[in-house]
Amino acid sequence: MNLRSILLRLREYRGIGARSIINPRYLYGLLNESGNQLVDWSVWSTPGVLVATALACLVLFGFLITIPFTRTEQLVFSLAIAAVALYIRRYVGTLVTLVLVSLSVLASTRYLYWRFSSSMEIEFSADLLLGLGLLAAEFYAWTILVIGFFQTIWPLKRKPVPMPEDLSKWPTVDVFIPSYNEPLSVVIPTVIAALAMDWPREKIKVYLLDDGRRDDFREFAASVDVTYMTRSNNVHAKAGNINAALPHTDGELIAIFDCDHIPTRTFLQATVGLFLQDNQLAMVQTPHHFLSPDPFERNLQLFRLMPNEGELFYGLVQDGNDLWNAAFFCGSCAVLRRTMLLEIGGVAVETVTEDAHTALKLHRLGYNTAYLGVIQAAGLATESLSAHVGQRIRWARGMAQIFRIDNPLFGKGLHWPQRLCYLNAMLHFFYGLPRIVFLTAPLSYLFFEAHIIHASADLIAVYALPHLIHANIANSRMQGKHRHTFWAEVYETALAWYIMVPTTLAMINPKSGQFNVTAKGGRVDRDYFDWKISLPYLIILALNVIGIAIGFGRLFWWNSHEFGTVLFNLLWTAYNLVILGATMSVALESRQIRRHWRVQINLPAMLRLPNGRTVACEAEDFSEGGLAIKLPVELAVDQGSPIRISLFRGEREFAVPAAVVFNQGLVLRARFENMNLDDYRALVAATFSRADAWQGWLPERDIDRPLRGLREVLGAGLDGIGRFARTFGMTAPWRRLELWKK
Amino acid sequence: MSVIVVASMKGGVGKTSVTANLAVAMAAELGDGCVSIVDLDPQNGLHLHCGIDPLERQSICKQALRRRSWHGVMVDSRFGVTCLPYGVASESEREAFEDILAAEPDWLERQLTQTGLGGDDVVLIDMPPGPSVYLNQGFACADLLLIVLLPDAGSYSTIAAMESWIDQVAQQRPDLQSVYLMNQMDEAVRLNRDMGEVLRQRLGARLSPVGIHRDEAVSEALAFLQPVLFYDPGCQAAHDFQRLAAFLLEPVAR
Repeated sequence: MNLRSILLRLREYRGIGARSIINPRYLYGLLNESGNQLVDWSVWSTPGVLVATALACLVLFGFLITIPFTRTEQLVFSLAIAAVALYIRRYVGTLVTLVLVSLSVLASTRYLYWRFSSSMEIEFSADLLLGLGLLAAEFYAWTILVIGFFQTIWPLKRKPVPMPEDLSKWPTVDVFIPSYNEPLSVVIPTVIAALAMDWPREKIKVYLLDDGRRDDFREFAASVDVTYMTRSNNVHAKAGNINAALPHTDGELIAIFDCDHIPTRTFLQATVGLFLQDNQLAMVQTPHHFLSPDPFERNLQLFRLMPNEGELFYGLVQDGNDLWNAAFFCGSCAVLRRTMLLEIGGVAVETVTEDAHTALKLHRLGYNTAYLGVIQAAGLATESLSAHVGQRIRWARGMAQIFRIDNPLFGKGLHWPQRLCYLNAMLHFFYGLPRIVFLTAPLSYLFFEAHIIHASADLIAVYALPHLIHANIANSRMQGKHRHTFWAEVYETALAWYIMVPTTLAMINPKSGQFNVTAKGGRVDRDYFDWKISLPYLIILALNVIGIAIGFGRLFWWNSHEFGTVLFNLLWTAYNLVILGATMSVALESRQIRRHWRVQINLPAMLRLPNGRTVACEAEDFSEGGLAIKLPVELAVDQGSPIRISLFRGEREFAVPAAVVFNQGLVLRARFENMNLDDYRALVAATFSRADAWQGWLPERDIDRPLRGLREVLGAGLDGIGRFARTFGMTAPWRRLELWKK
Repeated sequence: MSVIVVASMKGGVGKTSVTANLAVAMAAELGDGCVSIVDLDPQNGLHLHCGIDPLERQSICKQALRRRSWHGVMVDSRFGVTCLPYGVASESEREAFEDILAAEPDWLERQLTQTGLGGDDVVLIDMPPGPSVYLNQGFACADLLLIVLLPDAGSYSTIAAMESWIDQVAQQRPDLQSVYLMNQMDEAVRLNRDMGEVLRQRLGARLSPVGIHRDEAVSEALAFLQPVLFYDPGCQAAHDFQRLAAFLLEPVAR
């Protein structure tokens, strides 16, 4: 039994439905009405009132943050604001969100103020040095929390702007599909889908930008009437590839797709309207959507059960940025205006995250960007954990580079909200070191009796717990749909060690480090434990286990006089163990059973058998390699028989050739065979290219419940340690020796 | 009573099997005995699709010559459809029958009224290909004209003639609806697919959104004297006929 099945069973058992329906009481209750009345109050329009109120609130805030309390007073205060937060969080509405965020900022800032003012050793000692380290990490976490609140406080959630009836007003578009080392089979669907986008034929040109100088790419491009471009070098990787194509092309807009991001036919019609509405708009970005599980999802076996790691960014952060006119370019699934791109000298080449830097340069010139949170393209996620980590390392390094060479806090052209949004995007990637600090901080006491927080455990509790609780309540409120509480810890922990070094190095020397291409489309053939990736965590895990053991000794014998302090550090270590366990789960690479990903389609279909007979059926899912069919009756067709499969979409029919690979009961699987270009076109049109291809991708998603999140992470943590132990046991040398002897 | 006349300008487009199979699909929707099929094609093939004995004595042609009503001709098939066969007729009998039709333009309408079928009943009438006295009778009393085409050049070339003809009829019968139906589609055959596209563009909304796929099961079913919905209910053609029935019955139901 794996984690996924346990979770599903648990939910079933507790009768927790897929979607939680909000009680109407909380939609239209007294609190909502009074809130609305407050917002609509006519007094606000009187000049000065708003400013005066804001100032009064600030003063009150400052007072509440700095006023010294005794332990009991602090406890009462904490309980009071926690009660308010826990009560109002069930109500919907932005006003309530703002109140929850304010309470969280209050609790956290008060905690931090207390940490600075009352919990530090004053005399110089080793304790003080370690304590300062922890304090710095906490200050970092507080900064990210507060800027994060600011960034995502009011997601814009743009809608597409319809195109004008008059086709002559539609701009010309160049579609760039850069590729470096990806196989042709990955690129074909993207090119075909790009050609199938709904746009006047004479106003769209598709370019295959091949940095690999490959003949099969050239031939394929010629066969589908796509312009093939290449260059003699690979300077500046993808950014250089795109820039090299700019002088030879002339479309007013440039749509860019990574060669494995397959657009739907509506992509251009959904995005271009925004350019016609705003002539200062330089870029529109749409989400990067992945139809295959990323390594986290695969290894934890949680694909589509809860939001994945990237979803917070595309679901919330970009929409939040958009309010402040600070949506970033993400390198693919985006449209740029040529004149403005040329004005900044093409795609930025100074860093390894050319996309974010390009957006920064556009913003500096005063141009606008937009984010359209409607999935208009889909691609493959990275396959293995090491590739995933490699990609994140690149992002982290690139962001650190921008921070050094083109810091958004300084320089011309940005307004303050944009500076803060960019700052958060970059600071976010510095979480490596603080995360490691949090994972090891309690050990300094358990091992060396270092009192890094100079306060009694109960005092720490009454200050720190409100900070943690309110941060989680507010984050769950704002991010719940896009990231579940506590899972963020797992995702960040798994990457912390690896981005710590490159971000630090890039801070020291922004020129170091090169662009590494993200490998996709491979296959994990068997279960294995990624030792290389998880070694640092294994060491930390081992230290924590030892710490727990020592902690018990301290609890009962050596340090029983400071029982509270030992207990506090023990609990902290236990929590760290759970997070580390879940991280181990991630590192245990699950075997990919199928060569290709599969996507549910549930389209009516028809099989045409070799004898001319047909079967009306339903196509359940598709993959790059084939289709799974649900039959109405059992069918006597041999494996390997050539068949034709038609997929029906509305009144249109798309037929592709295939061969039966599996036929048992009412399930038939077929592999595409002898596909010519027409067949590819039909397949892409029936699958990826559909306007509604990615709608309803998240129907069975649960809303966030923080305590359940904790339970789930706890489960994953135990599961991870258990699985790790089993895998370790199986591959341990002495076991191998035993097996070999037999 | 709703009257659907099934016609084509060209022979061999599968008109008769469309009539029979569509009727069976409609009967499945409306209930046994609610759908009748009338064979006005001298080829006399319709009854075979419903498994009715080819030697059935009573037939439309003979009864017409005897100036009798259709009551004795109506045979309930095993498939929920009432069938009225044209009957085996000698050359002279056929000519005599056609003379009657030529002389009495409202003959078919009278016969239909005399059957005493109710308002919810549906009658499908199979016509010989091309212009004929039979078709003229059909034009006079049809509610819906279903024109069967194949996705090939031959069928395409007949559309112009068919359309000018329908325009003429429309002057007398402005309420007559017409729907084109594509039969024996095979998206896997290039020519078929391209001709289908040309037909779709040419006919636009006049083409039924539901077509019938080419399917060996249809021919095999006839060899077993069965409609395809009974012979192989899971096949695509059976599925198509069901959808076509639902599509055509929708305005009837309204």
